[in-house]
Amino acid sequence: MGILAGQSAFYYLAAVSVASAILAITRRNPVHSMLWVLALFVHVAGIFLLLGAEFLAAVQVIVYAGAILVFYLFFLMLLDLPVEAAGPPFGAHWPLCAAAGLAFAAFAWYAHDPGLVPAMQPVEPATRSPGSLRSIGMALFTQFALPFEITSLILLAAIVGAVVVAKRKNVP
Amino acid sequence: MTPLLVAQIGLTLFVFVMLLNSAAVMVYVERKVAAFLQQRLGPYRVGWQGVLQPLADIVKLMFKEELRPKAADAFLFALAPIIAATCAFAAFAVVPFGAETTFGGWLPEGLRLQVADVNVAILVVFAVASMSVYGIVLAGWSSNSKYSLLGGLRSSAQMISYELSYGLALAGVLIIGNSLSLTDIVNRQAGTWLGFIPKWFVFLQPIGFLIYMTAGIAETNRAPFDFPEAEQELVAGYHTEYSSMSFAMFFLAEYVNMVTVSAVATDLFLGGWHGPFLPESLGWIWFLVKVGAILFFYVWMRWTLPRYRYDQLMRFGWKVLLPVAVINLLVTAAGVLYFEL
Repeated sequence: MGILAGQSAFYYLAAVSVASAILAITRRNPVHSMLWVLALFVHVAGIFLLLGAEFLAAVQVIVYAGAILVFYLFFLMLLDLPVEAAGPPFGAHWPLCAAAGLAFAAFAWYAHDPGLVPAMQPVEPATRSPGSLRSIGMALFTQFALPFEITSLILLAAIVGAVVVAKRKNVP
Repeated sequence: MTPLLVAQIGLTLFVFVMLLNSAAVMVYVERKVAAFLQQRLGPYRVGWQGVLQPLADIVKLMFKEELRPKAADAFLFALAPIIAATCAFAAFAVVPFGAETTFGGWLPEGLRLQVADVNVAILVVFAVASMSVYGIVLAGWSSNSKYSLLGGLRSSAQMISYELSYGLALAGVLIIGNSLSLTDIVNRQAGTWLGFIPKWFVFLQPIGFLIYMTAGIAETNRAPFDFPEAEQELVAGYHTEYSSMSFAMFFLAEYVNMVTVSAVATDLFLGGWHGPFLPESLGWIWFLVKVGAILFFYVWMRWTLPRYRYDQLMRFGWKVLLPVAVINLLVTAAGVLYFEL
């Protein structure tokens, strides 16, 4: 791909991502908001593709767009839409959310400073593509094995919690 | 424009037209096989043995009135069948269906019989399959009808449940094939063991194949897992309010999805275009035979087995199919490590 084509693809994906994120939080119809989030996820997957991270792009679509968002849609479909749409567009806590978002953006900007991160390690020819399945698997099970296992423990706790919450109804 | 580029564009159009045709052929095959299984004759008036029946069906669908419920969400109501049909066609783009060929020396270099050779082909198939649920769910929701909504809810629950087993069944093949590219996996299945057993992965992954076929039936919403459109309970499920060509899009998507699931099963488990007797350049004939056999199996199952109850479907998916798939994956991984395949 030429540099120009790559750049215009990036600017298209970035612009649509930002636009759909804004649309997602301003729509009154929750199902429409969720579909804008879907558009956002698909375009973020496109940005991963541009970076040569095919595996991450596929996982972005499979896990976020294909599984998690479908669950959200599942519940949103059962809402009473006229009531939802009649309410105020933002809850009372929106300044808090906006502050959190801005703080995160500030962190991201701060982390962008090259002095904070360790110098880029020279890439071995075998793992030229940083987003390939092989390099992700190697990193997860060697260098980052402990955080990976901790994540699985947290997920296990969440599953146990979900089972407990679901079981409670049966107890008189 | 190089000859290779022209050939590639031609191939893409050819695949698209053949997928459209396959849906028409499958409609005829389904009606005819169903009739034979029930000791009827099936369609036999339009053309010889009724072979022109699909054309008559298409003309009928085109001239029907396009209806939309008054309270429907107009945009999403129009978008849902488009999503369903697009996802159905997109998944086939990464499926290879024959060896590299030069068409008898007509092309300067070999052309792969595949629309796009992607190195993460299986993940693309899986991602597109997981997106296709949106077509059904949005159709159900935007119709603003209780039958459609229930059909859409059922289908989203069903597809999420069976996608897990579907993915785990694929993972077993990936471990043995040691690649995410369908072309690589097919090429690893060339040759024979002991001179007569073809090196198909179905012999290494028999349980994986069974799980894949079962989950594939559920993913394509076919009987005995056709809950999204269980007509006795839900009229026609998510497409109750659709008519004319937008209904035809869902119909088309269902059959194209069946063809894709069968083609992926052929590539992953049945050796793709490899087979005895035929030279490599005519391998696509083997591919067609194998896909046809799986499609026949699908139709056969539909007209033989009664529909499960919904709770049975969920229990089966989560308590039987998923644990078996996980154990299959663990055993496969251990076997690959132990025998260093």
